[in-house]
Amino acid sequence: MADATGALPGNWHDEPSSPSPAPILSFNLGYTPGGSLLESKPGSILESAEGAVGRLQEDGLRTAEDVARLLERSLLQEVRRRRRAAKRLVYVGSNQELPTGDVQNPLAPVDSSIDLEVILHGVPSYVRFALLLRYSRYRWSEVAAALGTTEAAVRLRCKRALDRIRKKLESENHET
Amino acid sequence: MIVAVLCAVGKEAVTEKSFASMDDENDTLLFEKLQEHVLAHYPNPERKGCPEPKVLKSLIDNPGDVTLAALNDLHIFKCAECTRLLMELREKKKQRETFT
Repeated sequence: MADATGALPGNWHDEPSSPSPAPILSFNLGYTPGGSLLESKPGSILESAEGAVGRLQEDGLRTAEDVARLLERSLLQEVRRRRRAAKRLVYVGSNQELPTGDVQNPLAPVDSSIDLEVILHGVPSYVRFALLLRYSRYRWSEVAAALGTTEAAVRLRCKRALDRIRKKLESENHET
Repeated sequence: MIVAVLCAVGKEAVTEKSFASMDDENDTLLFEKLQEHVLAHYPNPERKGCPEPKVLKSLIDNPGDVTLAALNDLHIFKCAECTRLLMELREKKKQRETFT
């Protein structure tokens, strides 16, 4: 294929801020002057542009200059479109720059599936206190003594709450 | 190699079973797991909402003197710091009882 830049007018711009075509081809499309346009990275862009040119030719080609202008415009539009798309996501740095070691997740309590305030919602204060005592590593017999009742009574009253907690803990164990 | 894998699977199965149904009559395993969970999931370095340390000490030494309100209801179940302090106080009490 012929030198691609030969088809592109060197100083044609569709707007004042537009860069010239040769640097665009060079920096954005990986094109080297003197090479084939189809050898550059975005072959699909050029194929679509050339398709447009072909259609123009079928319709009755005006001049080679018109075709070159159309080709350039297609390229510029595609490059601008891709630049806009690339601007949407900006990655700064890499994951290697992140601090290593344990990072405490401030949302951990929110993520936690075992919320005893929720599990024990509506549970009588007697049971809540008994569970707190057992949580403080008292035996059930000691909990009963502190509450002035029997071990069997405490265990019976706490059974439903304990079952709920156990179920939650087991389900979390399975998930992890 | 296959034996090692089978052993590992068997061990895991035993662990799961022990958690589900092999707890002792004091539900020790359940409360140990619960404490582990609170320590891991509820850090509270600023000690927001924590009851006074003397209240926690009373809970260990004279539980009959402590009210649920003084403990800020179920706060301890959502506070790694209080849980840690409770465990320390409990250990100290055990040691005292052992020596006397």
